[in-house]
Amino acid sequence: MTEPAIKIEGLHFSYGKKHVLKGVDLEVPKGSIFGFLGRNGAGKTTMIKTLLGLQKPQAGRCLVGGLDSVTDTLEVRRRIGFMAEDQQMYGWMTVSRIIKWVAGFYPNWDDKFVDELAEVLSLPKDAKVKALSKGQNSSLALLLALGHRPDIVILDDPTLGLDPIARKDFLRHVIDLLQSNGVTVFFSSHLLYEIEPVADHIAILNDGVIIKACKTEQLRESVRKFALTPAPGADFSQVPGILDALKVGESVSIAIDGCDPAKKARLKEMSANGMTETALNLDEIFEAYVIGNRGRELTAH
Amino acid sequence: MRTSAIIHQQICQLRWHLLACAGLIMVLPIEEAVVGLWEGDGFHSIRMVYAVITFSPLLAGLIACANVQGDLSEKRYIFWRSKPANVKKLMALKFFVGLTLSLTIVACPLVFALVSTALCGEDLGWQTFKHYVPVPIVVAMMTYSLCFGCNVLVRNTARSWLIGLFLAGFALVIPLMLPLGFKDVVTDIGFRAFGFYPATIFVTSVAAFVFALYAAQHDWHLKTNLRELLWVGTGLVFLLLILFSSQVANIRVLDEKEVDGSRWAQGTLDKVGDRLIFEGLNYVDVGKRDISLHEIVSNGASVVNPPLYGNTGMNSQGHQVIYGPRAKGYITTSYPRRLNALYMDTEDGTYHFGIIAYFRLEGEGSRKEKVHEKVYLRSYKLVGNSWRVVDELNISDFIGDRVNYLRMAMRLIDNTLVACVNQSYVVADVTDPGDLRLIDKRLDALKGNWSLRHMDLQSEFDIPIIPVEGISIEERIKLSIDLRYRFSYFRNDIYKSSMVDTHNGKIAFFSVSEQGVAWFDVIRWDQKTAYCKFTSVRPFTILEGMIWAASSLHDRTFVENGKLYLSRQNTLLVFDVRVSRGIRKLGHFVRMDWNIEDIAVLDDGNMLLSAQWLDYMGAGHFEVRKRYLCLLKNPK
Repeated sequence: MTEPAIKIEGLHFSYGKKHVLKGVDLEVPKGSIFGFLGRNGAGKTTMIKTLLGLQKPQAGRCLVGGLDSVTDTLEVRRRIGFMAEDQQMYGWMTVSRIIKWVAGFYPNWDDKFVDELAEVLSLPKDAKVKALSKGQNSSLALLLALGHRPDIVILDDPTLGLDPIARKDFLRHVIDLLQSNGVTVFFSSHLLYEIEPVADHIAILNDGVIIKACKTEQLRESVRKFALTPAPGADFSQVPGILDALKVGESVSIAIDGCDPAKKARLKEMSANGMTETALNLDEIFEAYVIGNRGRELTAH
Repeated sequence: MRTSAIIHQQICQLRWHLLACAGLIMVLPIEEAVVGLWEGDGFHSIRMVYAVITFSPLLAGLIACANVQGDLSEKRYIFWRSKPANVKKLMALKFFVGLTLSLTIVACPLVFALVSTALCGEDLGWQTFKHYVPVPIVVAMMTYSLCFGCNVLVRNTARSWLIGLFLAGFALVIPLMLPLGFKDVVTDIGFRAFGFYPATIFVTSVAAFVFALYAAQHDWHLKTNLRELLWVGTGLVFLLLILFSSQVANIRVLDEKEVDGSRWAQGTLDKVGDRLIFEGLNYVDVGKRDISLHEIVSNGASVVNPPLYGNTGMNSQGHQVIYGPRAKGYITTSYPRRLNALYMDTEDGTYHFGIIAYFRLEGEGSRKEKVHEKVYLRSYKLVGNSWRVVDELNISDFIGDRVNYLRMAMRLIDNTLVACVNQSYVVADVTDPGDLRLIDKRLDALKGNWSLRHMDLQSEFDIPIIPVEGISIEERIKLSIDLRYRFSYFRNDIYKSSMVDTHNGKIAFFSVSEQGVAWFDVIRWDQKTAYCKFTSVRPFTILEGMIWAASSLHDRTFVENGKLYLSRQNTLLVFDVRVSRGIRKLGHFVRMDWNIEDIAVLDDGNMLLSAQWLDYMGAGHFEVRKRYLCLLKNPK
């Protein structure tokens, strides 16, 4: 088995008394585009900061390419290309100056590649950073994250603040550039429609723990929604993996994780007059995982 | 990490601040030069350069705060921190680039002054320039470091500038505020008081720099608001006030009595048996926590205009009688100044002995010189509450030529009294103090170097022993040291007064100068020479040094029960000298408007202090307005 690009083991982190990460375990396969989902404040940025060695975890460790982010911080950062949400750079520098400045930190900076990227991203090299549009600013940040040809690229909500068209443009560039190079992409976002078309792996972080981590296809396959009218005496607590349940009139709508024939048969038994099965998109799956009531509404009745 | 790129970034990042600071620092010198040119004095500037250099720490602090502020806003901080940058190296580089730029800005007016005065052929005043300029520059460097450290922590230019300036001020004031300083903890370190400021500035600067690196590395961030800052600032000011008050007077006053100034000529205190006599024919009762004054009543009437010690007395009718040549315009100096130094109790009563010298002031205006003409060895008897002269030996021929300075020492061994004046000595039999008998007398017996020199500190040196026959070698050594060092009021001498006694089983003496207190031990001797060794020094803090700089003849130095008592003018210091490894300060008492005359350590350990309050009458003349007696708790 190949070594994962990123391995996180039992990660705990607190800001004072606020326990943000409560034992995160995660593996990001090499060459994958890994969608890292979570609501605002779920701890995504905190985990990325810890991954980059910007803060020391209270417990657990992060391995990037087999290197510990706390003890081998500089080497880890050399291997990673990072683009933060709403990235702020030195506004008084010109694009070419900031490229030169960042290049100073990397011994393996690829000027030719950067020139090509600047061309692809249509970045005006003589313009001052403060004069760039938001889209151009994000493109510059991406360029600065990729200039040293990193093994792993971490994108933390990279399209935050961009309008829909700029966002689409940006993502197209990202995918074109990265997929062809076999780079591992760790893409954190709370905008699921951004991740859905590109991510081959998904992890959902909620309240400081990873509640789901698997391949995107697998996630789509395993989470299903059923609509049925419950038979008298139906006990839904007997059905494992209910993520969300909603009662509308006489009928109920149930989202189930790990849907298999046995679970389907069980539900059918509890149904008074048959049931309908539908597939969920990533947005709905995420909602079911994060804000689903776990069938409490049905149990209460 | 490419150093040139970082330096370039820093210069570009600071360019507007640098221009603003250069403008601010150059505006006054240029204005002075332009005005000078207009008035025909030439285009040059000196005075304004001194003025702006004084304020250079403010600008250095501003540049320090602007230096990394641009890198520390949260989002930008993540941008560059996510790169493989060695934070400490990067910050250190930024620190030194900023510091160099600050010093360049500060150098602008200096270069302007040097060049413009040279071109105009004006005198720069090199001596003043050389002495003044380094001070604000060094302070500017410290301010820069502190503001840099604050900025890394606070991440707000204005607040970190204010906090940095406040801390710099605090660091500069703190050496003045420390009541029991670093020197009392590490007494073996014999650095001098003037080294304290450079040490403070250096340590503060380095500490701030190292702190900044760690704060940046660990992303320490102190969130502040104006109200909190005001509270902290107020707290620190209070702390300063508390430190200052404890510095000025951490010895507790138990009781204090004001005495009518006209009723006492001098405030010398004598402890005779269980009674304390306050000179001027009055006496004092001292309780545990209070003082009572008792006026001497003679023939039913209180004594008015009490006589001067040594020269006066009272006859049987209670009338004042004046002895000696004071009435002819002479003034006295005496040894020992405290009456209780040489006591003798006989069946007949209590006696003491003293050398009294008389001098005239000769010369015109401020050039008057003190010329000594007459010297007496006298014995006094305690009659009632006063000392009355009972016998005297005229030793005026000891003076030799008429001199303006006398060196005196005296020692009583059993019934033999040895008194030295300048280079002569007399030995008297005092078996009957009312009838002093001359045993031996020798002129020009003592020769050699009189004063302690700088080089004697932290070294061994020798003292020729007075060749008096019939007394022990130890007493001769004490006499020799006493004569040599007790009253060496020479200018440029380090040590101006000292005392000698057996201390910790050794003959030891303590010398006091404007710089501090030094302890010397006599380590060995032969019949002609005693060999002394420097043991320890306790340099004065800056505040102590400032007080000590005002020299006075009224200073007192004595050791009692392992404590060294020093007083001069308005200050009393108490040191612990029990441990041979050093001198440790225990307490400090200051009354700015007092002139301390005498101190007595009482049986219960408390101290009684007599002082006068002088009123300046103009033309260098003071008049005693009030006198005080003060009971003080002896610090432990």
